Amino acid sequence: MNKNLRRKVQLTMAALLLLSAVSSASAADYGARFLQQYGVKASIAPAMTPSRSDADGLLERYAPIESKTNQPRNVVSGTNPHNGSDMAMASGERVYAILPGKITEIKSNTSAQLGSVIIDHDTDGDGNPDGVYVQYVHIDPAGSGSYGIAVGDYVTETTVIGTVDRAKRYNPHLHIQQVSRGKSNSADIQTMPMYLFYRHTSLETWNAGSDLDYISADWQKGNVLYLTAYAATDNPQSNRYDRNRPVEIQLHYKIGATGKWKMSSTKFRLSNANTMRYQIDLKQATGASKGQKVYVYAAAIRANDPTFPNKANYRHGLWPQFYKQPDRVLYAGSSVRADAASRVFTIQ
Amino acid sequence: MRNKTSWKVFSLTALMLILAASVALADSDLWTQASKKSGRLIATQGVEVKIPGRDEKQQAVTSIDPVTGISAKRAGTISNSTRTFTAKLTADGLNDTLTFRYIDSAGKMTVLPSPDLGYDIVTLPDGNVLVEYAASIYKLNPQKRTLSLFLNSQTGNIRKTQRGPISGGSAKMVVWGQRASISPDGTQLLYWTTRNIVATGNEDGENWIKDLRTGAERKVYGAGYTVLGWDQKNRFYLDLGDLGIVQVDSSGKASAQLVSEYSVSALSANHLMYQTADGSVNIRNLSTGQKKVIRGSGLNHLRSISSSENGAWFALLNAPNRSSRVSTLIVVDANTSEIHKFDEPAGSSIIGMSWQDSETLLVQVRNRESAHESTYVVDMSKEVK
Repeated sequence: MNKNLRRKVQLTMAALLLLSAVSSASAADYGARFLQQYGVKASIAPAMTPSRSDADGLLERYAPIESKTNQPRNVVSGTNPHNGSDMAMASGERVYAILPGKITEIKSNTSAQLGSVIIDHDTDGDGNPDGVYVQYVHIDPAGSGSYGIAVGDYVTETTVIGTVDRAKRYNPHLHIQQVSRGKSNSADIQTMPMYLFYRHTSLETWNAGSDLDYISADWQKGNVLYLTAYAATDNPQSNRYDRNRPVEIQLHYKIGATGKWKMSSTKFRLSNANTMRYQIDLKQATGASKGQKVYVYAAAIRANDPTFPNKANYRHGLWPQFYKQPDRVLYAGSSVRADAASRVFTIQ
Repeated sequence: MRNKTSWKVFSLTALMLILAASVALADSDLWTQASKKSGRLIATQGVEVKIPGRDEKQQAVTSIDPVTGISAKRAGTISNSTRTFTAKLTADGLNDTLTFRYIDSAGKMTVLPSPDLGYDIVTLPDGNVLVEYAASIYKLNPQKRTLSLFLNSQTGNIRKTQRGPISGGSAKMVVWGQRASISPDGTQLLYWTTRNIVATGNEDGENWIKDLRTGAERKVYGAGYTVLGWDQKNRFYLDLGDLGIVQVDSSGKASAQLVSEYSVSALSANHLMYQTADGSVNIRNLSTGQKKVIRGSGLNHLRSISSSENGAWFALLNAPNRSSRVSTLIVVDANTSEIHKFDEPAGSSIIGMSWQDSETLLVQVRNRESAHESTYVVDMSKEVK
């Protein structure tokens, strides 16, 4: 096989793999911010970490994730569930672009600790941005005067785009999120999961990117639905990052478009404790017959959380992601929200 | 008049063509004469290390078992004849077994940086290794394969077991030590900590120094700024972002602001290079304090700078047009201020650069068609005469 033909075959295979493994529920309307992406096998792009340990910006540093995308929180200010992933980086620490790309927005609102940069990233390495936007928040963008980064600049993975801002409203950290638009004031801007940038990461670091999202890496095989769900957070007692698992993952469902929403008595089963991989047989859990369509969403409930020391009424995050402060029983008053959030499977 | 003007235009055009031709010749010489190796290479203690690039990461992704979530392949650092050993950490309530990669060359054991294994390392002059793990710093004896406490467990009235408050009523994790950096004479260790949160509630953290001769530890500077490096007089340099660059005496008693605004910068043992305006770059002799401004060779906006081990060279990733993906590599002789410009290898983009030793520059590139990544090993003594 000649080189060109081999490359075309490789590109076609890669495209097919991507299409089969990742899809966006762009038509779904969850009422606000989240745009669900599905998939397990492929990545958007193997990004570098925004924190580095060497002066040349080439050695990646895996900062602990303080709060995940779609994580339920009880915070004084901020989004709930969390509208991005928080990395425990130091005040003043350099923030690097995770992939090459072009800067589409810079906000220098450092008085409120809300400085941010959005980059349209080059995900395939051809040197051109691909419409994949990542926003870096709570930073002091590199250069607020005449020199420094500017909108329209092309950056590489070794370009410093800012430093983590000092504590004002929040503790110093980097909030990072994939967004659907290059301008944060776009009326229809939505947030997407981050794990698809870090599927290559090890169990010792970000565990295939799942540390960045509360629920991730869904996959269907036959009637079995798989999810990875973490309640990991800093454990102040052991002074380290813990992977304490959710108590349970509930399955909420209805059979057929006109069916009635209910919660299954069958819960997701932990199938791998190292990777926090869960599974459920949709046929068995719903009682649906072959050929029937089942509408489902899942609620993963944390055992405990530093931001919920005394509260038990809101410790759940939903899959598909749902914003904002959703009740775990989305259909309590009306089925509309549950219908909008759900994903449909045909029982085999 | 017309003839004179025409002659001037002709002369200028001819001069530009000659310059362009000489630059092109230099470029082709550089990339064809340099050896090219597959993957992304850096150097640590003179040893070539392959860090995970796009290919290795994609292989890890496609090896994930969707049922278990486990990947069969790891995207980690490797070197020639890489071997591993494990060491147990039983301190501070931990009971963890860490894996370390190393190479054994002529009886010298070099532990390799392996961020994918969940920690960062710093090698001490005595051959021991500092391991940054679980928000603290521990000492690894590679020969004995033991891990032990390194930082004092109490400084002043603050004990390592104390916790600070956070909104919501639960304690915040305290970083006892992280991001370590050794002074050139091997007597001082600079690190970052948030232990003051216990007393003040402030989470910006502080830079502390441990005297490796006496074991004493003390605060020397606030916040968690990036350490650019050390000079020969045991002074360290912090990049404060928009607040500039400061030089701090390791005693913590004296500091000087060398740059007062944001800059793209790098430090060697003898020089500080920084850019604060497009079109020029500044180089400051750290012994004499003298500053030079360098211009020319298409030098415009810098994306990054890398300094060689002995400080003789700086490698600059330059953007002739800030909005374009195209970069040029500019090499500056720190002592003579001579500059040499090289276009990117045909069809490739430069990702970043690092120095293997005082004369050998590693240039990581990505092919824009295949996305394959490789590293050029450039011997500056041969390429720039």
